[in-house]
Amino acid sequence: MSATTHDSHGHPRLAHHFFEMEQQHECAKLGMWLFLLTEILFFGGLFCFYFIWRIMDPELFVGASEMLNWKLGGLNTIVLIFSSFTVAMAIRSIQQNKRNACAIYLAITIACAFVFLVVKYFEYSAKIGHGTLPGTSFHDLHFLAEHPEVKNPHIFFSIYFCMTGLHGFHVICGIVYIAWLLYLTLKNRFDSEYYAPIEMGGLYWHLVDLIWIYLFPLLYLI
Amino acid sequence: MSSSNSTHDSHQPHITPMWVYFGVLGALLILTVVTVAVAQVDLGPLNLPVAMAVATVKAGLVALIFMHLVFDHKFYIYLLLASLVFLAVFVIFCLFDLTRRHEIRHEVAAPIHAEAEWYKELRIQAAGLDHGEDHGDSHGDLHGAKTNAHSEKHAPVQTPAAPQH
Repeated sequence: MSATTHDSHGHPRLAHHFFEMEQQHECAKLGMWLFLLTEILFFGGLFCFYFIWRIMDPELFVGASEMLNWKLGGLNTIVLIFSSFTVAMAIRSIQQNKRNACAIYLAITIACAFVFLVVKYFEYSAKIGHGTLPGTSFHDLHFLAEHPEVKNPHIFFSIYFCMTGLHGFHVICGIVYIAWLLYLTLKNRFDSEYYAPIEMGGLYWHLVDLIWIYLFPLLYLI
Repeated sequence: MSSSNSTHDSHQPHITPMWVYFGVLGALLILTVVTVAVAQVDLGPLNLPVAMAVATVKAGLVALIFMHLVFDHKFYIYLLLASLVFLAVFVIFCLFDLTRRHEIRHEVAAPIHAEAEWYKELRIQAAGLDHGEDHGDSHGDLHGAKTNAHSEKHAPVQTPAAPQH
């Protein structure tokens, strides 16, 4: 007992105001979860926006979602789910002191995030090229000719660009944070006792995946 | 030494077995295929709840296994559920208000059910596009439509006279 307490106290990454590593880790986790809850409520406003319009005008969503390429959306879903898996594996590796495996998994996660953004870039540029834009910028005549029954399609694309845009911004933030984690991992900063930053990055990245799991069917499929 | 080791082990974080992560990955990929497949079937108004149900199963797997909620102290899952309760209150109360407003004042809901004024010009151009089928011309049309949309967006909105029901 005394030996472990000594080990725990002596860890170079233990901040002076914490009693032991476990307490420090739990405090970080509580703070991270509280942040994630504010993120859920943050996106909640946009989900509210979606559901209100969906209930007021269901035909708008059925018609306008045909404009989105579900194959590209599905590809992005698979990419994000796989990156969630790799970040979970990165945490598992560092828990076992396997720093190289952890670094490889983090690098794969970053690569997946870039694939997601590249696919998103192609989707956005096609929309901008067709004039399928939010608000009064909407001027996609081909859409109007093909869907004469759909009223106010600009509302759907306002929702689409707000939700995927905010989500995409979270993906960019995730890339920056995970790249920093990768740098610190390569500098041997983490071990099986101190890996809280990687676990918090993992929690954040899972939340980004979790929101996309809802966005994909709501926007692309139905 | 052995007793100190066992004390140490009890403080060790939960290391999830590899097969659990692979299982969740497989389940999530299969459920993604299910989401896409179910959406191809026209269930009418049921499509939304079915899609939400599949998404919630997937989100549950991510939260419970990947985010370690099932292995962690129960406090964290209560936190998450509490935030979802507040989110539900937020969305449901907004829906009560916005979907029942017209029962008190018809004219409040009327503009929502009508199409925005600036679509009129776009619709005329789209109809021309439909008849002409000339793709070479469409680019010029798009620019014309955009300027028209912008010039008309500040025009006063006429209250539609059509009744709701």
